[in-house]
Amino acid sequence: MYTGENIGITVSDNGIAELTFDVQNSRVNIFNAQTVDELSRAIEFLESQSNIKGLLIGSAKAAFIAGADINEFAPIFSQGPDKILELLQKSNSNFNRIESLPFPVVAAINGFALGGGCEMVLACDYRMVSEDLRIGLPETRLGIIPGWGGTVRLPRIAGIETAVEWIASGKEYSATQALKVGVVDGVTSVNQLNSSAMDVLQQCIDNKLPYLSRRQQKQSPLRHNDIEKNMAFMTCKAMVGAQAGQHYPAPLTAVTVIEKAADLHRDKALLIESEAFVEMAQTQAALSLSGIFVNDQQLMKKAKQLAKEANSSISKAAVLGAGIMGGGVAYQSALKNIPIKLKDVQQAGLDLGLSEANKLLNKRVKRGRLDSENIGEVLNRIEPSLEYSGFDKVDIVVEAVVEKSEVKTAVLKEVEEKIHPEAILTSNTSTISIDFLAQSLQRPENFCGMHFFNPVHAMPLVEVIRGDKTSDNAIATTVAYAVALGKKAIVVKDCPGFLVNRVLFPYFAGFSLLLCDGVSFERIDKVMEKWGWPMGPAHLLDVVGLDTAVHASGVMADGFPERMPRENSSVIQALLDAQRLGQKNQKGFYDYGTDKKGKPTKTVSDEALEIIQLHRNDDNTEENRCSEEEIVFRMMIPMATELSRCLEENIVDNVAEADMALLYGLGFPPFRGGVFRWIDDIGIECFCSMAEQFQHLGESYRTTDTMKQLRNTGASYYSSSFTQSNDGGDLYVN
Amino acid sequence: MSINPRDAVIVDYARTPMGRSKNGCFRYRRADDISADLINALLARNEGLDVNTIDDLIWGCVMQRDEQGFNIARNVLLRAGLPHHIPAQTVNRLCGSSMSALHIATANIRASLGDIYCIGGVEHMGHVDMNAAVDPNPLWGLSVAKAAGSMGLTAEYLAMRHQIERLDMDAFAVRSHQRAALARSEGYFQQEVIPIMGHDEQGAPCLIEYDETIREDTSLEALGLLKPVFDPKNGKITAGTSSQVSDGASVMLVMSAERASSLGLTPIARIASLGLAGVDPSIMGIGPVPASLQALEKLGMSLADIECIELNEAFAAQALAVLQEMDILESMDDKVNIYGGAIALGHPFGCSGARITGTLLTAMQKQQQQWGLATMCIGLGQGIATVVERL
Repeated sequence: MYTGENIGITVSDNGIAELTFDVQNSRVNIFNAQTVDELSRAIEFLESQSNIKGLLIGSAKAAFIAGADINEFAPIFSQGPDKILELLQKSNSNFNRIESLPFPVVAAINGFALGGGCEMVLACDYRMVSEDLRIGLPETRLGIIPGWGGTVRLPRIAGIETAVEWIASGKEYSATQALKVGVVDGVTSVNQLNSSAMDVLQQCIDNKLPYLSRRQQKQSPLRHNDIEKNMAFMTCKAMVGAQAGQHYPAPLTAVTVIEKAADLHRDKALLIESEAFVEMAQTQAALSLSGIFVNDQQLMKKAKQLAKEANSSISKAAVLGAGIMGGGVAYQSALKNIPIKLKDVQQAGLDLGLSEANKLLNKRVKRGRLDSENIGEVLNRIEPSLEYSGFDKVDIVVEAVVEKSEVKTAVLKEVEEKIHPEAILTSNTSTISIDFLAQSLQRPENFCGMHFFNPVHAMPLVEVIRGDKTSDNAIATTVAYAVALGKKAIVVKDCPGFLVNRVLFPYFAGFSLLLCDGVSFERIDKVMEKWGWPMGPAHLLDVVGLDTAVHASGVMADGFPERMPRENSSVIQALLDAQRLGQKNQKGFYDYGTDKKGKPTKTVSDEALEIIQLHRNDDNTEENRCSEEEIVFRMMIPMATELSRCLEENIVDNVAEADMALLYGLGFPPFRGGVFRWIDDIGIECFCSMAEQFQHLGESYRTTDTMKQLRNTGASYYSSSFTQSNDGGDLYVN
Repeated sequence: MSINPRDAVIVDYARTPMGRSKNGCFRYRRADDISADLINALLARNEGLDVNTIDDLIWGCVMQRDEQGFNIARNVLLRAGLPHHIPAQTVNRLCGSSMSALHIATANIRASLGDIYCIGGVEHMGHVDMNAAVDPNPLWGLSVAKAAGSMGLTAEYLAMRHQIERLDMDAFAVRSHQRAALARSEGYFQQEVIPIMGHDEQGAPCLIEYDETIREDTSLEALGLLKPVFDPKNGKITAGTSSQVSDGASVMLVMSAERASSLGLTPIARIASLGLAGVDPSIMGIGPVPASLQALEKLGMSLADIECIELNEAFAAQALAVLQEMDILESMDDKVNIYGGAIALGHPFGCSGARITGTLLTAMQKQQQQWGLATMCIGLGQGIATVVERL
C-alpha cells in the first residue's frame, strides 16, 4: 500500500500492484510538481517490495494524464538552465526507474495521454488504451520539445518518421491511429480497459509477451545503418524545415535531437534531449507560445462562465443580409448545429449566400472533415427567407447588412418589432458605434455588437461589443452564441473601431506615412512578413478592400481626430479614386490574377506605384535611410500605443485579452505572443526610446501614460496590474 | 560456345508498343487483354510449337489488384484461349518481376522440371494507380528510412551521393529519346514490337504499331525548364529524367536447348547466368551493380567481356550512378541502351524485365554480338541481372 495525495498504490494477494493517478482538486490528472514528487516516492515503494509480480498504471479520472502543468513553466524557465534541468531530471529519473522495475509494467490509458502523460506511458512496457484516447506530444506547439524522454523513446518504439511526425506537428492522435503506427499495443472499450490491461500484464508475467526485449529496444541505439539513417534524417529535416518556418525553431530542433541521439544508449540520448530542451525553453517563441496557451485557457474559461449566465440557451438564430458576412454566419451556425434563418431582401442574395455555404461544405468534404451525405443535413439548417415570418421564434439575431448607418438603423428598428421581446439583437458592424445604433431601438438593453471577422468560418475571433445600455444578459447570450459557433469571444466596450480595428487603422496610418516618405510597399510588406505577419499591410489592405478601409478610416478620424487625421490615408484614397479597390476587383496595391494552372498570382502594380509616387514628400530619400528595424517600429508603434490606450480606457479587460484579440482577429504572429508580449520581450525602455525617435511623426507615436509608468518602474505589461490575476484551475498541455 | 541440353534458351520474344498511361492508346484496353493478344501473336509466329506442350505461363505484374489482381497470369491464359490444362502463375519482384519470371523458367529447365515456358509481364499503370492502395508498414522506421518507399527520393539520394548533376541527367534523357526515335524510324523494333489493337485519340479502335511514348523532339533546353518533381525545393530529378508512366506487355518463349532442337526451332540466345542481390532500400537504384557482378562472377567473366548492356532507366540519375559505379561511363555510348530506355519507352513495371532482355537481343542480333547483360534496379533495395549468350 502506498497512499499519496495524487497517487495511490494497492498490491493484491497475487502480487499485482496497481498504481492509480488521481490528482486532487483537478478535473484531469496533470504532472504538476507535487505529482512528479509523489511518483518518485511511489516508485521507491515499488522498488522496496519483493512480492510484486507486475504493475498496472492507470487513472481514477476520465482522462489519464493531460500533461505537465503549463502554469509552472514560465516561473521555472525564467530561473535559468539549472532549474530547468532539475525539472527534466526528476521525471527522467522516475521514468527510467519505471523502465527498470524487476517486473513488467502495463499502462491502462484512457481519455488523454498528452505531453508528459504520453512520455510516461512510453516508459511502460505495454500500452493498452481505450477507444476514446487522444494521445500526442504537443510540446513543439509551445515552442519547446519533449523533455521527458519523448524524443528518445518514441523513435525507438515507432521509428524515426512516426516520431518526427508526432513531435514536429504536435498533433493529437486517436487510439486507432496510435495502434496503427505501433505507439500503443491494444485498443478496447472504456469499460473493458482495466480488465484487458490486466490480461496483458498477466501475459507478460507468464512470459508470453516479450516485455524485456521491448525494454531493451527502447534503451538501445536505433538500428539504422548510415545509409538509411542519413536518408531518414535528410528527408525528415527537409519536410519539417519546409513546414515550421524560421520563427519556430522547436520542430527542427526535435529532429536534430533525434538524429544526434540515434547511435546512443537511452541515458546518453536523454542528455542530448535535455540540453536542447533547456535551449528551447529559453527562447522567446517558447515564452510567447506557452503564454498564448495560458491566455487562451483563461479566455475560454471566462467565455464559458459568461455563457452560463445567459437567461436562456440558443436553439434558433437568424441573420439579416446574405452577403459575405451574413452567409458566413449562416454557414457557421448550420455547421455547429444551430438552425438559422437567413433573410435578405433579394432572392439573388439568398442564392449567393446558400451557394457560398455549399461551396464551403464541399471543401470540408474534400478535406475529409465531413461526409458528403451530411451536406444536405447542414444546408437544411439554413432557412432562407425574404420575409420576417417565424422571427418571433428566434433567440438571437445577427444583423449583417451593408455597413451604412442609415441602412443598419432602419433594418434594426424593423426587425426589433418582429422578434420576441426577450430575444437578443446584435449588429455585425466593424466600425459603427453600438450606442449610436441603439438610439433608434425600443429595447437597447437587448442589443449589442457581434463583430465577426472575414472569412467567418476561418477567423476565430468574435468581438462582443457592450453599449452603454446593453444588459449583462445580452452580453452573456451573445457570448454563448459565439462559443457555440466555436469562436473565441472577447467582450469589449463601445468605441470607434472597437478594439481590433481601432488599433489596426493607426497601423495603416503608419504605413501611409512610410509610403509618403518613399519606402516601397513591396519592401514594407516583405519586412513585415519577415517579422511574422501572415501578410504585409499593402496586401492586407487589398484583402480588406480599399473602399472599406477609406470608409472605416473616416469613422476612426471622426472619433480620434488628434491621432488619426484623414490626410494619412490620402494615398489609399488616390488608389481608390483610380478604381483600385483591392482584391475585390483584382487591383489594389497589387494586381491579382491566376496563372496557367489556375493558381492565384499577385504582382506589384505599376499603376499603383505611379499613384504613390505623386504623393511622396519632397524629401524623397527615406528609402535609403529606413532600415528594416525602423520600418517595423514605424508600423508597430502606432498600433501599440493605441492598444495601450484601449487598455487604459478599459475598452478591453486586460493585457492577455488584448494580445489574444490581435492574434485571433488579425493573425498577429503567435511566436511573438501579442503586442504587449512583444513590448515585454524587447523591454519597455527600448520601445519608449524608439517611440521618442519617431514622435515627430505624430500623436500616435507618443507613448501613453501606462507606458511611461512602466518605464519609470522598469516593469512589464504581463507583470503589471493590467494582467488578470491567474486563478490557476485546469491548465494543462493539450 | 558450349551449349548444354538443359540450358534455357530464348526462342522468340516480343512486346506490345508502349502506350502513355495518361489518355494513351491502351486507355480502353485491359492489362489481361493486351497480354493475351501479345501471347497469341507470338505463338502464331511459332508454328512449330504445339501450345499443349507449354509447361507453365509465368507472368510478372506488380500492382496486383483490380484488373491485375486474382492471379492475372491465369486470367491472361483464359482470355488467350489457351488450353485449360496449362498452369499459370503471377510473379512479383516489383520492377524485376518479368525478369524473375525468366529466372524461374530458367531454373525449372535447368532442374529438368519442364521444357517449355511462356514468360512475360504486364502493367497497366493508367488503370492501376501505383500510388493508390499502398500501405507500407510504419515500423519500417525502426531500421530503414520511410522515404525509401519513394523511388524518386531514392534516386535523388543516389544523385547526391554520386554527385550527379542535373545537366548530365537531362543529357541522358535526351539520348534515350533520340536513340529510341532512331530505332523506331529505322525499323530496329520491327521484330520485337507486335502491333495490337488500341484506340486512337478520337476513341476509335485501331491497330497500334509504334511506341507512343518516344519524344523525338526533346531537347536539353526543353528538359532544362522542367521543375523537380520529388523534391521541389532542392531536387534535381524531373518527370523528363524519370522513366515514363506507361502501359505495355512483354513476352518470351523459353525452352530447354534440347527441346528447341528437337522441335527444329532456332534459339536466339541461351541464358548464361543469373544474378540477384539486395542493397539498402534507400539506394535501391544501385542494385544492378552487385546483381550484375554476381552473375558475371559465376561465369568467371567481367564487365569488360560484355559487349552490350540493357540497364533499366528507372531514373537518369540512378542509371548514371550505376554506370559510374560499374566504371563504364566512358563506353556507355556504344554499349548501353543503344535503342534508348525506359525514359523514352516507359517502365510498365511487370513488363520491363522481359522487355529489356528482348531489346538486348534485338541490339545484339543487329550488331552480331555474343555476350549481353540485362539488369535492373528494384524498389526497397534489390538488383536483378541476366547474362545472355547469343547463339
